[in-house]
Amino acid sequence: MRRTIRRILRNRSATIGFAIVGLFLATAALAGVLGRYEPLSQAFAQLARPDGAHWLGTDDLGRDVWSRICHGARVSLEIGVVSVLLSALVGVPIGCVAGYVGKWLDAVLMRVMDVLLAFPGILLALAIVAFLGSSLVNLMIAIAIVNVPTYARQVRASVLVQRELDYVSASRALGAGHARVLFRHILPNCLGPILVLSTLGIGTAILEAAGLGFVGLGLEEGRPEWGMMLAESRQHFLRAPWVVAGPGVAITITVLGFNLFGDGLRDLLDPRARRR
Amino acid sequence: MRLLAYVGRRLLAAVPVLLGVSFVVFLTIHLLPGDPARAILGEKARPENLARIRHEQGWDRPFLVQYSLFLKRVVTTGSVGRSFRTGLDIRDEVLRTFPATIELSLAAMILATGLGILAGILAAKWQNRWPDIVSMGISLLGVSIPVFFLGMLLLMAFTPGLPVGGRLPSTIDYDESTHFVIIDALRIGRTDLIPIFLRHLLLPAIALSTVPMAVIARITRTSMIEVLSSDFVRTARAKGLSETRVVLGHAFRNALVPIVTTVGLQFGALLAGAVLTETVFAWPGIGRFVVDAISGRDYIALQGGVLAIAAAFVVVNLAVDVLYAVLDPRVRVGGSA
Repeated sequence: MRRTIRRILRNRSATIGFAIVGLFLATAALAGVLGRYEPLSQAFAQLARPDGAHWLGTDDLGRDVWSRICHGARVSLEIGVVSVLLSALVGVPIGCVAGYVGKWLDAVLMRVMDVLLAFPGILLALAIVAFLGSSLVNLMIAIAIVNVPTYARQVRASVLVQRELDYVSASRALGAGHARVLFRHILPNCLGPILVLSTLGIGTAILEAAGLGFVGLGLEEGRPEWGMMLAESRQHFLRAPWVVAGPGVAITITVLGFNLFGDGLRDLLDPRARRR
Repeated sequence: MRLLAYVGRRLLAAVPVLLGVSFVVFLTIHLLPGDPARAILGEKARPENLARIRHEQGWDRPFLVQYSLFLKRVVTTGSVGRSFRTGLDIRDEVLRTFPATIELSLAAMILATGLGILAGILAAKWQNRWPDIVSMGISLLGVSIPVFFLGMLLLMAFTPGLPVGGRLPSTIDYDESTHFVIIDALRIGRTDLIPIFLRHLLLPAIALSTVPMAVIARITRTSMIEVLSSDFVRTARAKGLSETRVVLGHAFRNALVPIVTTVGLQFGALLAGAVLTETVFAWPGIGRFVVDAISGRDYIALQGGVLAIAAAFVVVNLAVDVLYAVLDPRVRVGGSA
């Protein structure tokens, strides 16, 4: 354990990423304390400049921007983690089965994944939320569906490699059933890439959720979500740049943190991909 | 001949994907909680109007019949139907807006490819030195910053210096039959429109180019580092060639295959980014058409827009696959390259 930590610390991008992610988690956990006001309270002057009372100023409805960012971290964390878990829960078994069984099942499952991949980026999520209606749950489901193929393909590729290794034949020879071989022996050996994808995926999910929020497909009105905060203050940003600077910088730094951490993890877990 | 066979195989493989895409898009209207007719006409709609729209759209027929009708309409007329808001044929709307997106995407792609490759080469040449750290830092920032936030930052920095909103000032009236500004301007001899158009194009193109630029820079760097350490590069240096000749003439050409593939695949990221970029810059493309359709609850228009973008994406990917096979003969044989 100590050796692992030392290795993480020696990797600069992983360390910075880890620190940013830690800060983000702390903000989300302590939003009630750090955010000094109620995120929905409209008790203050509108579009007030940043000062001692309002560190990042107030928005056009007189809400404290800093408090909303702190509470927004909670929303982003929830979206990121839940949608990544959902994608992995669906995508990993699909990839496992497709890679292990092969043949027609592989072909069918991968064609279905191809169809999902044929929608560029957030477009499919956009359509799904537009039709299902805006809510936190629909948002997470939409983002999860879009990212399922990424997991399925990665896991399938790993399983295809592992399947041919000697330990698999050995455990088959010892009488292990297919399910046991696949989920107890092969899957644990494919966890590294899944971990990397999930870390990067949280960043992507936060970015996608912010994008959906920006085009008006985020959450219920008023919920402090970073993308929606940007969208809501769009008309005022030339007059009051702080209303967009706060949430914009928050999204950028958080996503940057998850990207750095994910890249670092990849280097640590896969010595071949390590930067030369 | 092998190449032709490969192209044929890829074309055939695209058919089920396109069918699947059309099915998913068709399915979206069935995702509507409750009754799509009510969702379109609103809660206070009269029963006879609801019945009429259900019948018009074929929503009173069995599911698979509806899908085959939808598919037939898309294939024969190239349209998903008429907009509920404007009554216009969606096909015409797509044809009107898509050229603007193509213009924006091409401009962004040119910027992304040029600057991305340059940054990647510099980073590889001076690995772990400041050019590397700076260009990789910027590209990391490029994939992390939301495109709409970057767009706003650009607007803040460059207004009132550069024009904002649309492709041309709304006061300019001209015959736009192809909907491509440059082509129309050349066709009717209004070359004075081109510089105005390019000034409008600059900021949205920069905003849209960041993600592909970052990805292209990273791939170029990795590919160049690998090639620069190979024997033939050492030989070229030993022959006494100038460093520029070695890097650009020998190494870069051999690093090109993964770069070209990446450039092609980034078109997808562009089409998705266009939805957000066009919203920030009021660019009259298909992305904004989709966003307008969402806010206007115009579900048929939304279906048409999404279908058009996804179909374009499949076609672009197909073209990239073929280009890849032309560049790298190993792909054609069917082995993994």
